[in-house]
This record gives sequence, C-alpha cells and structure tokens, in this order.
Amino acid sequence: MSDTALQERMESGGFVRTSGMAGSKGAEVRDFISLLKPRVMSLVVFSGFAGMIMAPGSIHPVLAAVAVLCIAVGAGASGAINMWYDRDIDAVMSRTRGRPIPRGRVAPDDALAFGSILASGSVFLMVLAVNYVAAAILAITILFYVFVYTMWLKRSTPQNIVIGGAAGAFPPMIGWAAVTGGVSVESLLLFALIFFWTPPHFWALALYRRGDYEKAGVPMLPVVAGARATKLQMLIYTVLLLPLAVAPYFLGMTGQLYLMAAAVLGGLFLMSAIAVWFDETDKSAKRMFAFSIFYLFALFGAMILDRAPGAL
Amino acid sequence: MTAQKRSDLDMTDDEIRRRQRSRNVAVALAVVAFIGIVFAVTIVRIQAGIQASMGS
Repeated sequence: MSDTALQERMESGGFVRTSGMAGSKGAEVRDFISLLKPRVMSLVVFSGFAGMIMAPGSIHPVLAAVAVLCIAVGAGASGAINMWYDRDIDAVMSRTRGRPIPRGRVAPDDALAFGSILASGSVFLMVLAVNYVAAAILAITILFYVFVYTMWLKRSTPQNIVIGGAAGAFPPMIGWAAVTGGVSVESLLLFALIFFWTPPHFWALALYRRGDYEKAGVPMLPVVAGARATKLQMLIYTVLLLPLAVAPYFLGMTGQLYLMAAAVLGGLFLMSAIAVWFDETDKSAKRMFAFSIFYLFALFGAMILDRAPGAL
Repeated sequence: MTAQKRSDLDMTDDEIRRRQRSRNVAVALAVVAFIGIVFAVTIVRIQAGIQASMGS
C-alpha cells in the first residue's frame, strides 16, 4: 500500500497525521522505544541470557552484558523495520493501529533508518566484543525476520509463523555461541524449544484476532483453514513440544529441578491446548496465549535456576 | 476527538522544540553509552590479552 493510501486509510479510520509536520517532529523518545517492541524484546533477551547460562564455559561479565545488549538491540531493530514494512496492515488491525507509524508520530523513513542503524550497530558491536559466530547468528536472525518472515512469508502463506518462528528461536543460540564460539546439538535443542512453541503461541492469538488478520489480508491459519484445523495444529505442536522440553535433562544439560518444571509446565500447556480444542468461544485461546508467554519465561527461568549453586 | 489526538494536531512550536530537545538528549546519551561500552570492551580485551600472554 502506498503512503498516500495509508494516509487515507488512517484518516478514514479516525487516526490523525502529525498536523502537517514533516518527518517525526512530533515524536517523543517513547515513540522510538515502542518501535523496538519492548515486550517481545524482553522474551528474546531472557532466552538469549538463558542460552548463555546453559553454555559450557565462561565469558567475562562485561562481554556477557554487551552480548545481551546486542541481542536486545538487534531484536528491537528487527521490530522497527517490521513496523516500517507493515505500516499499511498495522493501520487496519485494532491490535497494532496504536503503533507510532500508523498514529503518525514517527515517519516511516525515520523508523526504517532507526531500525537499520541499530541492526548494523548491534551486529558490529557483537563482532567487536564477543565473536564472529554470535555476530553471524545475530545477523541471520535480523535478516531472516525482516526479509524471510516480514517481507515474504507473512503475507503469502498460513505457515508464516511456523517458518518465520525460526527468527524468534535463534536468541538462545546466540547466547550459547557468545560463550562457546560455536553451535552444538544442545544449542540447536534450545532453538527447537522456541521453534515448536511459536505456532501454538501465535495461533492462539490469531484465533481470537482472526477478524483483524482477515481485514488486513494476512493469511493466518485460522483465516485460511478455519478454527478447527488451527486448533488441531496447535495441539500437534504442543504434543511435539513435550518431549523437546524435557530433553535438556536427558542430554545432561540440566538437573531434576528443570525436569520437574518442564514436565509440569508441559502438562499445563497441553491442557491449555485441549481446552482450546473443546472451547467454541475465544476464551481458552486468550488464556492459552497468556499462558504460552508465562510458559516460555518459566521454562527458561527453570533452566537458569537449575544452574544456580545448590540446585537439585 | 480525544485529548491525545487533539494535542498531536495542535502542537505548539514550544512543544515541538521540547520533544526535539528530549530526542537530542536521548541520542546524546546513546552515543555516550556506546563510547563507554566500546571503551569497557577494549579494556576487557586488553586485560585478557595480557593474562593470556603471561600464562603462555
């Protein structure tokens, strides 16, 4: 959609442009911060940190902090570029129409420049401070999210978030590579955990926001295949996630504390998916979406706790 | 029209300048932080290099 068409749509939807001001003159610092999708960033940072804790070996605390910062900034930069590209559909969807670009607070070009500078800066700093492997995976994550997910898959296939979910799954691998300088089966397992968690997480959201996605022309699974098929897919991915979640224990990466946490959380996640299957309303989907966020935080939190001195 | 939307439309020059100033301060802080980070990384790297050479 062109910027003129976007402007018309925004105005017809009751949104205002920034009173004829060129660029982002009316933007506040918090508008640029919200371009970084801070809530998404928090989960990315947490999983990246967990990858670092789980990795064998050690890293200087200053370099570890810089690595986490680079992961956070790189993820935020991807979010800003995503908001630049998706500004047309963001203006249509109720969940996203309050974002800085559809609201006319930040000019699209400024968002793109902001995201691009931060993306390059985060990779550059990762090279300087940490190592080439971590920097390369960070660069792949950003490029994958922007070009493969945002620009290609999101608007062309209902499998968008399955394949695109890889972008969100890379951060623990970056954390792992920051410490070890490489990739291993263990770090691929951490990747797989988030990769298989992503479909039930996103489809839970898409189930109760399908009207939004339909209006925006985004082919999310509930829009294309219907609620029943989506719920079945969610159930399948949740079941596949169960053995993956306990696998770190059997690979000797964690102790019994994590095993117990993963088993309980997995059981609850499966119960959520079953509740969604039987629920004709959106209530269970909303509950599962909220629980899925808690699930991942708790799972990686259990891994970190498990590494603490004196853990089981 | 809500108060927020009205404030966007009716923003005074003073308000625009205030926001511009706060953005400039944020950019300045980010640049200073970046310099501090690069400095800290350099020190850590040099220390690690010295320790490695003493150990070998």
